[in-house]
Amino acid sequence: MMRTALTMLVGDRSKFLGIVFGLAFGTLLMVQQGAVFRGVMVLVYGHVTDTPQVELWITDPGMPELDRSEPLNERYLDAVRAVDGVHWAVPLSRRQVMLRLSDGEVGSAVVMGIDDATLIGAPSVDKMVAGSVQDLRRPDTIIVDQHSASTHLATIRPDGSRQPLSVGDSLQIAGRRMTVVGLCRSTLNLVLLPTIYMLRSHLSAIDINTDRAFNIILAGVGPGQDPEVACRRIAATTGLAARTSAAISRHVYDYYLYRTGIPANFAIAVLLGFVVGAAIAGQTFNQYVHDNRRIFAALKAMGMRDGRLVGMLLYQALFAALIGYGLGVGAATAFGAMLAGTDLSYRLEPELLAIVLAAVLMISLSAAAICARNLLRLDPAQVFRS
Amino acid sequence: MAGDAPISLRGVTRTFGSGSAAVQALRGINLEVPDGELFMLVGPSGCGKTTLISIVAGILRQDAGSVRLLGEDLARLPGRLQADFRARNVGFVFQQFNLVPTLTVQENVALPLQIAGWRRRRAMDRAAATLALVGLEARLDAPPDSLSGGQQQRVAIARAIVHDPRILVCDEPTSALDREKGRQVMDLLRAIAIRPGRALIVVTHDTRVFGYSDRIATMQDGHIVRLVRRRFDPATAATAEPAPATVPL
Ligand SMILES: Nc1ncnc2c1ncn2[C@@H]1O[C@H](COP(=O)(O)OP(=O)(O)OP(=O)(O)O)[C@@H](O)[C@H]1O
Ligand SMILES: [Mg+2]
Repeated sequence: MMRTALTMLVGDRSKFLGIVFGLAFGTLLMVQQGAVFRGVMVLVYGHVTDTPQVELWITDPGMPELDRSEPLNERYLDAVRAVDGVHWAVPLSRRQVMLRLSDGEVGSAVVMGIDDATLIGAPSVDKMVAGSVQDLRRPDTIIVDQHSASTHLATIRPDGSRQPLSVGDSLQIAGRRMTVVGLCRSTLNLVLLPTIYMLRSHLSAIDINTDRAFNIILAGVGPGQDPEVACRRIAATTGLAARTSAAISRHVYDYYLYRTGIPANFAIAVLLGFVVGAAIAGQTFNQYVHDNRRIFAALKAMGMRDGRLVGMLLYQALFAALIGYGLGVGAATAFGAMLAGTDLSYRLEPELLAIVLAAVLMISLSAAAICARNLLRLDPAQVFRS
Repeated sequence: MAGDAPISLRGVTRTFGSGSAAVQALRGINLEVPDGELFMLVGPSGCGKTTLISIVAGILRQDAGSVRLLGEDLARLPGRLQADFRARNVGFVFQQFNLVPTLTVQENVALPLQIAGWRRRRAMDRAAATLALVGLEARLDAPPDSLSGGQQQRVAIARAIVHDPRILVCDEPTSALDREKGRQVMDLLRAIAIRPGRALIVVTHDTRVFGYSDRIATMQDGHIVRLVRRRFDPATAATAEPAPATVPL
């Protein structure tokens, strides 16, 4: 009987396609927006991901996100170094600065001022695409992220093509000419600002607004030491916020999730997908049941139990849901494949797919349930009325 | 013996609506439908024929009186078991055929068996055999809409008898057909649907087919006003007017 139920639905070509289209469209919108959202949200802690050798991130306790951390000073650094279990600790100055592009245009960039002595916080060797981290020790030198070098920071040739910024070129940062000595891969940040690495001493020299202050302390624990324990000790003795890589990622993530308008915008788009999908699929399914009510009444008259009739309807809805979902996910995946190699970050995660599947099942099964109510009210005696 | 008839109604009434809009469709029906013959129910439009066979088919409840189908009082069964009773015992032929357009002819005929819980494979085999009885063995995979009206009604008859029901109700089976097709459908009903133990009721106001009956009940205004037993004569069935009453009410 269940196979017959499917034949009945699929045979009603236009209705079936309408239902599947509605569900596929809703799925596509929900999955696509969800994946873009997740893609964007992992960017907010890209710095942490890109710096795997760092185990502890220490900031002022009120820090909402990495670009907005209050300045710290050497006394804090000494205090952290003195904490039992802390193996090493170095300063990092992370801030936004103005820069002037070769065509005279003004932009800004995220600058990482890394520790002169250890170079901790610089791109790891495997992230370097050209040049060398050691060259940062030469005066007025920088390393630029490769993506920006070939996009925002590229020079436009007279014929309109782009000449990527490369090793040996220079860039004006805060009024000072800096020479590019390396290119590296790095996770894009949320607003796609270029990421620039230089020594902290060089940054202090060109950034007149600040003294030698830094705003993040990067640290590591000794072998066999528990980073969580070290964090608690640092917090207790210095009053600073000390977090493991995972904890600071979550902290920054939560800030963007709960305190910015980003999630709301995506939520609206996802909701729209849900509503539009539900409207199209629900309405078409309802139309299908309505148009076939004579048939359903005949089935009832011929002795089909109500439970079986409802089961048939749910089965039809389930079938349409899975097909629509499959098509929608397929389209969303194709969309992701199209984005590969662009600025847009897109993350299709199993959790997202599961949530959308649940949403699609909810749409189709509740549509079926609503229609089932009408079927149960259907009077089998109406089969004899024309 | 009257009490053994597959269908037995006593003092059955049925009213639709209430207050000033109330329509008394049945006003006290007493009826025994015997098995093994073709029982015809005729009468002017609105006299209550459809209401009466709906009750006989177990899809409509009477307001008062008793209805016994195969000795059962359906009104006393829960809805689920009423459905099961119909699935086992009742076959339907409708004026508008009511075939499922998206299923094949064979799948349509297999439906009552599947409703009764048969496996698809077995149901399809039986459906094919039954379609051979109505001369449509070559059209098993056709969609119903590709058949003529007469052929569709033959599919409907196959569907109505495929599960060998003991009650077979046909509401205006020839009204949507021309004279020749109507005649073929009645020939077919007589040839394959009459059998011992089965009550076969045909509701019609198509006077052209009255001659196919073994017994005719005439209704008027919610009453049965005349019951005629005839001798069916295949030679004249297609033309004969029903014989005058030979059995008093
Ligand atoms: N569901 C209903 N609601 C209201 N009135 C109804 C309903 N069913 C039947 N009636 C009324 O009951 C009366 C008998 O109807 P019924 O359909 O049984 O007549 P019929 O003899 O089959 O007529 P026809 O030859 O036109 O099919 C009619 O007046 C009809 O309008
Ligand atoms: Mg009628």
